[in-house]
Amino acid sequence: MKKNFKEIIKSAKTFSLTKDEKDLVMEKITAFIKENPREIGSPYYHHNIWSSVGSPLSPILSTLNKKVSMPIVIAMIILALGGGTSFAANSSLPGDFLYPVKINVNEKLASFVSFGDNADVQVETEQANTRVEETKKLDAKGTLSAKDKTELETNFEEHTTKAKKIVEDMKAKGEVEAADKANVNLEKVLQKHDSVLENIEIKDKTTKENDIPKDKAAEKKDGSIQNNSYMENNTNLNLNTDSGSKVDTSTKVDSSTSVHLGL
Amino acid sequence: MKTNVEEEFTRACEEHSNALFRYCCFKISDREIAKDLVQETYMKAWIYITKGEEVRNIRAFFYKILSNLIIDQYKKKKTLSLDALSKDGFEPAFNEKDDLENRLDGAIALKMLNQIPEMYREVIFMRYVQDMSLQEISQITKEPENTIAVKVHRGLKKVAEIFNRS
Repeated sequence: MKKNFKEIIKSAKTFSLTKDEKDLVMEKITAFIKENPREIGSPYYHHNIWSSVGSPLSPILSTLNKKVSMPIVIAMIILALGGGTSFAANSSLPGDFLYPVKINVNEKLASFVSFGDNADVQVETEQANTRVEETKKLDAKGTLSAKDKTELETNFEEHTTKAKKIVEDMKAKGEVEAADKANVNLEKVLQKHDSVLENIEIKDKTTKENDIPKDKAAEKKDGSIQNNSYMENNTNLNLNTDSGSKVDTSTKVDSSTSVHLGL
Repeated sequence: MKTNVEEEFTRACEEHSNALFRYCCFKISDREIAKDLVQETYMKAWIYITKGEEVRNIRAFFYKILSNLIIDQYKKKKTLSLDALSKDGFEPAFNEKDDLENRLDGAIALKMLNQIPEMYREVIFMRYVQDMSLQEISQITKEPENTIAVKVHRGLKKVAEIFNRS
């Protein structure tokens, strides 16, 4: 028996691609690699952060050799995070002097130090949430300009798009449970975002209505009262129509049934 | 010019292509689809690498992607049996160097392994045909190593029953 099973295993191991088939697969994959070159030159790199950091630090960072060793990276991060400026920037809002530091240095470093899809998606979701919080705070202060709003929205979109993509990647890799968890957190932020925007819209609407001169507001009020009474009449009419249609329908059903039975 | 990473990746593709293809044929019994899925596996793996993501065990990583693609394929359509494929002119390929005497047909061997209960089939195939370690099987199937070891042990008992009978 054992020999039998061994023979089967031995034979199964011989099942393979023909030389031509293998060559064709390799040819295609080589062409694919050429078409899609690796953007990051060093395996020490998790994200190509240096090229995207738009801060005063970037010229210094870009002069560093691409093969930056991990201890140097960690030391730089400690320096950056330990800096009072960087810390103060964390609580800054759009329009503040330190806000570009928060966006271009602190947040990009946070993305850089996160390893693995799970950590990445968490960082992206948190940063999207920060944009929502900033919108909320500026609105509460009454200093949310159209420019700030657009910038915050664009940045929010960037983070949510990245987070969605990572979730998709996680699903593709079979990390379904972690992907679902990340998706739930992302959904919460998206809902919060919608709710904040909705509140801003309602507030804007109310402010505009309050800005209408008193006479016009009174006219509007009368109009709305009239409209209400019109609506009440209409409701009655509708009710009547409904009851009428009910009778009609039942009659129709009855007659059609009888016709059907007759056939 | 090819970088080290590209070279390493190409080498890994070449090294694992037969085993991945065999695994795919074992699971879906369609040579053409198996070839396409192996190719797609490599493409997905490369895209992942280009993003700068770390891959610790390229073999396990390939199998993980391929397993997901096979699941998608199952969802897409019901696959054909090896019998039906043999009737349609399906011919398995063999390594030219292998001793041709006293050798069972590769496709028949795969078919015979399909007699093993589904619960143990995959781990037996991975362990003995693909020569994978328990740790690698655990990484691919996402089951604890202990569970895999138990499955292999019980699977072998089933193998003894099945092949004794035949």
